[in-house]
Amino acid sequence: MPPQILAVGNLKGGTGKTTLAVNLAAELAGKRKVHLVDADAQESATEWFQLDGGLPFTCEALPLDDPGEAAGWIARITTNPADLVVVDLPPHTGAATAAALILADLFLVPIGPSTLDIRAAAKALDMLTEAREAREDGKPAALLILSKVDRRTAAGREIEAALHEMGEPVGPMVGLRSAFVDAASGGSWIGAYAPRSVAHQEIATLAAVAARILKGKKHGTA
Amino acid sequence: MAPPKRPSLVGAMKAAKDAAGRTAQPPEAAPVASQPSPAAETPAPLAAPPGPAKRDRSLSDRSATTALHIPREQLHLLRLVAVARANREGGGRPSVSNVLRELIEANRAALEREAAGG
Ligand SMILES: Nc1ncnc2c1ncn2[C@@H]1O[C@H](COP(=O)(O)OP(=O)(O)O)[C@@H](O)[C@H]1O
Ligand SMILES: [Mg+2]
Repeated sequence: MPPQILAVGNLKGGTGKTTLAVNLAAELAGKRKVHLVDADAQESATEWFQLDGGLPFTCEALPLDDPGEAAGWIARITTNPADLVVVDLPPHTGAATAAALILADLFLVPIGPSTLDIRAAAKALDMLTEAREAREDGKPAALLILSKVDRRTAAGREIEAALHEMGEPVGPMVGLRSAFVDAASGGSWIGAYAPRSVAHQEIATLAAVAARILKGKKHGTA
Repeated sequence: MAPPKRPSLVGAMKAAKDAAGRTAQPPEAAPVASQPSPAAETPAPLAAPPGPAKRDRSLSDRSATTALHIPREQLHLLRLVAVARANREGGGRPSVSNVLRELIEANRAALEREAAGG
C-alpha cells in the first residue's frame, strides 16, 4: 500500500512549516512508521535531523526544482515503505508544491500572525483549488493552522477570525513558544524536549486532528 | 471566475503523477524499499474527506458577497459566536456569514411581515 501523504506548505518563509512538519512527524510516529521528505532546497529539516537528537522517523532531502523531474520525485515518495510521508515544502509555488498538492491526502498551511501571511496563504489556497480540480478524488483535505501566534493579543485574535473566513477548515493553533526553538536547536522535538508542556499538547492536539482526517473522518463542519 | 488557461504547473504535475503511476517504478531505486510495485496504482480507496471547495460551490451560486457597515463591537460579537459554535461542533469552520444567516432565519417571519408593510 502506498503511504499516506501529509504536506506542509505555504508561500511564505518563516511561518513555521518546518517546525510543524518535524514536530508533527515525530508525534505521528508514535503510532505509525513515518518518513519525512525535505522538499525545500534550503534543507532546514534535513539539518535539524542531522543534529542527531533522536527524531523518531526517517528523513531525506528531496528538492524538486525542475518540473521535468516530477515523475521521479513522485514515484520516490509513493513507493516509500512508510505508513505516512510528511513533506516539508519550500516557500513558493514551485514544482514541489504543485506536485505535493497532487499527491497529498492532507495539506497543512501554517499561517503566521500578519496580513502578509494571510495574503500568501490565499495564494496557496488558489493552487489547492486547482489541484482539487485536476484530481478527481476531492483531495487533498486542508487545514489552516494559525502558527507562532500570541493569542492574548488583539492581532492574534483578529488573524484567527480572518482564517475562519477563508473557506477551509481551521485546525488547532500553535502558539509562539520558545520551547519550539529550544527543542529544534538540540535536534530534538517538543515531545522529547518538553513532554506534556503546553507546546507539546498543541502538537499532540493537531496530530490527533490530522490523524482523524487521514483516517477519512471529517474534521467537522460549521 | 475561470482561472486563466495558461500552461499550469499543477496540471503538469498531475500528468507526471499519472505517468509515474503507469510505470510504477522510481527511476532511482529507493534505498530501503524494494517492494513489489503495486499492480493497480489507483488512489487508495480510503474515504476522502469531501473537498470543501466543491461543497461550497452550489451554495455560493445562490449567494452574494457584500460588505456590511456595522459597529466593530457587533462584528466582534458575531465573530466570537461563530468561533464558539464551530468549537462546539468539533472545531470546524466558523463563519460570521453563517451566524448572520441563522439570525435572519430565526427572525424571518418578522422581517417578511415588515417587508410586506405589516
Ligand atoms: N510556534 C513557534 N514558536 C516560536 N518559534 C517558532 C515557532 N514556529 C517556528 N518558530 C521559529 O521561527 C523560525 C522559522 O520557522 P520554520 O519552521 O523554519 O519556518 P518555515 O519552514 O516556514 O520557513 C525558526 O527559527 C523557528 O524556530
Ligand atoms: Mg522551512
